Amino acid sequence: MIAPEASEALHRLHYLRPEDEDSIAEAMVSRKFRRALTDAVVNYLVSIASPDGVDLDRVSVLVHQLNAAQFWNYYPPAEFVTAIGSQIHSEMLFALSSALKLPAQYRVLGITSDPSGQPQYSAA
Amino acid sequence: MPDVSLDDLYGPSRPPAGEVKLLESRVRPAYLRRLDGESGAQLWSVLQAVAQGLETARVVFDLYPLLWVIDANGDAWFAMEECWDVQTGRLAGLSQRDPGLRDPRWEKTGHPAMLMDDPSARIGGEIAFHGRHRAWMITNASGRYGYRPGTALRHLEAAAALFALHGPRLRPKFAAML
Repeated sequence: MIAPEASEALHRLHYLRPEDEDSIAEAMVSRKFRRALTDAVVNYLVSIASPDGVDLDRVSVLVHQLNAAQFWNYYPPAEFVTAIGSQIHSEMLFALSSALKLPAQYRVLGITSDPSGQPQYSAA
Repeated sequence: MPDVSLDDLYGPSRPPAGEVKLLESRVRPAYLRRLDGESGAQLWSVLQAVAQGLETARVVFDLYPLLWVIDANGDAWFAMEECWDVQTGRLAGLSQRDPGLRDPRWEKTGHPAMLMDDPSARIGGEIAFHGRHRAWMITNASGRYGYRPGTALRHLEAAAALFALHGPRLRPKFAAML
């Protein structure tokens, strides 16, 4: 059972409130929640088709908020970026892989037009 | 105050860690304020009203980010994240981060827009209400000014102390750099 607060937080990845961060961290023990969070993160990243400066900034903030919730312990950053890199905007990918401190080869997968197709990844 | 003290307090002034888009280099938030005795007291009165249960004020901060940054001179600035129409060059509203609700004509003004000629700054982040604790937090949630090498909790604590000096009492919530 996922706490309602944690489920609600999944809809606010674009602007998490401080209590959302706490709710997500507490819910990470649940495999079901981790899958739902992974889906939400991917959907959020894919949905930004034309990022402005704040969107790119937001990617870095989200990476660090997820780090505080131990998300990257369950989903290794390199695997995550490899799984979704071809589906997100190239600038979003650059911001994501930079924030995750991944080597340069992970920054060249992104697309430059509107994304299409279904995410191809597997939740931890 | 000599620069060395400012460096120690808030960290050195450095360029942003991420990209600054054209809009953010040309536009300043319309409702930007420098933190001083007057603006700090005004801000704190609003934040306190939220903490005391004024939901009509809380809804604004639940939906739209309140940004802060400390510039090279050690001055703190705060502003709501705004949306500007890039075609008309006019303020369009407050930031709409939700990808499902945005208007493609709009771009948002993030932290770099709060800095006048030089986009360098010491530290920045957001001021956000913690609904469970009913307390206001100051965070380093800025991809460009919050997670750079060397940025530490003590710099955020110093920023919180600067705000407190002018009124707002904010709890530091620091996220360590990856």
